[in-house]
Amino acid sequence: MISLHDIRQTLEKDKTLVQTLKGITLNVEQGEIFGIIGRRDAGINHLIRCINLLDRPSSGKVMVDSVDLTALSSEALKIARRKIGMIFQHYYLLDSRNVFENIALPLELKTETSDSLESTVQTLIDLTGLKGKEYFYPSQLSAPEKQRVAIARALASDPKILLCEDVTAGLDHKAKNAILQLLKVINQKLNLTILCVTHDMSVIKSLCDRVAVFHQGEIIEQDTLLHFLSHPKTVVARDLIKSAARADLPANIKTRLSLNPTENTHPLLRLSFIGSSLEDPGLSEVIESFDLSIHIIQAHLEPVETGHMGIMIAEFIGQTDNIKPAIEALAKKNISIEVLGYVS
Amino acid sequence: MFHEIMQSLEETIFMVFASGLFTWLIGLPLGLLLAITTEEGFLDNQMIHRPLKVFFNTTRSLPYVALMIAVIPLTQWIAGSKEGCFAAILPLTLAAIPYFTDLVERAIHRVPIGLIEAAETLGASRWQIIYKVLLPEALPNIIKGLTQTITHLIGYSTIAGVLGCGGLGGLLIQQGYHAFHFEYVLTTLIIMVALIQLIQRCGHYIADGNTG
Repeated sequence: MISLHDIRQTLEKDKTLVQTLKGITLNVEQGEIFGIIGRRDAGINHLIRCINLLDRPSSGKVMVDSVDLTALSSEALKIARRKIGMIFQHYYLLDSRNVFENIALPLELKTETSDSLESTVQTLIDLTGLKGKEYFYPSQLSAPEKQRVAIARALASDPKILLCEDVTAGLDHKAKNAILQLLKVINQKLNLTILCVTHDMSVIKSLCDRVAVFHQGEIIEQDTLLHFLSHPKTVVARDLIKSAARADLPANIKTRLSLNPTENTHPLLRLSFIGSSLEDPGLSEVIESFDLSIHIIQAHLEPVETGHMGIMIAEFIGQTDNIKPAIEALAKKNISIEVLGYVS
Repeated sequence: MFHEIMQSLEETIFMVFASGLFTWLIGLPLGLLLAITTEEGFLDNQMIHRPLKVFFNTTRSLPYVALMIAVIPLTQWIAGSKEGCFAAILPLTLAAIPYFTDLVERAIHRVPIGLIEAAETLGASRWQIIYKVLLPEALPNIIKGLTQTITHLIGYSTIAGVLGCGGLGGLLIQQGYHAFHFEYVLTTLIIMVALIQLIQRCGHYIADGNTG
C-alpha cells in the first residue's frame, strides 16, 4: 500500500546541511497497522511528512497505492492526498469552526458537491464517539476530544491510508488507550492501512502489527511485533523495550533501581516467554540447578497485537558467579532476558 | 451648541467610517498578499513582497499632517476641493491602509503553519487554504486590527478637521481654540472618548463572538 524506496532528505538547519533521512526503504501492506518508533530526538517526523509530500524528499520514490507521488503534478497530488489522511500531535483543528464544520471541511474542498455531506459527517461523529458535541468549538473540547475530531476529519474524504504523527503524546493513560482503541476499530471497520510514528513503546505494543525502528535517519530494524518484542536485534531496540519496561515498574522498585551493579545488589531481569517456552518448565529447572532464588515483581500475560507473550520481571538473588551462566542457560530455552537494572 | 456638536459628530463619523470602509476593502487583500508572499509563506515571492513592504513601512512612518498636505493635488482632483469632510476621505484612507495591512499581515502570520499543512493533507488548493483556513482563522485578530485602525482614524480625522475638513476637529479649532469656549472642548473630548470606547467594545465583541 505504501512503499518507500531509498528516501533521502537533506535539510538546512542553522546554515549547515543535515541529512535527516538516509535511504529509507519500507513497505506497508494493505490493511495493516505499521509503527515506526524512534527516540524523541530521532527526527522521525521527517519521515512521515515525506509520505504525503508535506516535505519533499531530496531523492527516492514514494509509492502509495502503486502511484509514484513524487512524479505527480501539484493538481494530481492534491487529489491523491485526499486518499491519505493524516492526524497530528497538535490536532490542528480550525478554531473558527465547530466540530461538525471541522469534520465537513474535506468534503467542502472537493469540487464536485455531494448532497450526502450531512449524513457522512453524522456517521463519522457516531464512529468517533463525538455525539452531542457537534456544535462545540475546539476551545470547548478536551485534548482527547480534539484528537477524535481530527481523526473524524481525516476520515471524511474516505482515505485508504491514515498517517499518525505521534498522536497520543501529551495524553494521559486512559485517554491514550481510548484513542488507540478507536484507531484499531477504524482499521478493522474501514479496512484502513495505518502508519504511525511514535516515541512511545506502549503505542507500538497495543496497536501495531509490524514495527520498524528508526535511528539516525535510518531504519535499523523491522519485524512483526511479537518477534520484535521478544528478539530485538539492535541495541537501540533493546533500549527502547527496556526503558518502556522500566517505566511500568512499581514506584518503590523504581526508586531503588540503579543502572550499574554494586555490592549487595541483585539484578532485576525482564524475562519474556513466547511460543513453546510459555509452557516449558525451563525457568524452575535453571533456578534449581544454579541455586538461585527469585523475587517476582510482576508477571503477566501481555496481550500484543499478534498474540500473547508472557512477561515476568523478577529480582534474581544468589551467588554473583552463578547469575551469568543462569542467564545464558535461560536464553538457550528460548526465554529472552534483559537486565533492567540492579536493586538492593 | 447641541446642533453644532451633532453636526460635527456626524461629519466625523462619516469621515471615519467611509475611510474605514475603503481601508478594509483595499487593505485586507494587500495585507493578505504581504502575508503569503513572505519567505515562510506558501506563495513566497520577494519581487512582490519587498517593494510592498518598503512602500508601506515608509508611508506608515510619515506624519499624518505631511501626508495630508502632500496629497492635496490628488485630493483636489478626486474630490474637487481640499476642504470639507468629503475631501478628507482620501488622505485618511491613504494613512490608514499601511497601518491596517501591517495588522492584517500579523494576524495571518499568527495562524499556525500546521493548520495550513493539515489543510494541504486534506487536499485543499491554495485558494481554498486562503478562504477556508487563513481568513476565517485570522478573522478575530483582523477585526481587532480594524478596530485599532478606526481608533487611529478618529485621531487622524481630528487633524483633518483642524486643517479645514470639518468634524469634531474643526469644531475644536473654531470654538475651542479660536473662540476659547471651553464647554465645547470638554464636550468634544467626552464625545470622542465615548466614541472610541464604543468602537473598541464593539470590535472585541464581534471578534470574540467569532470563535464561539
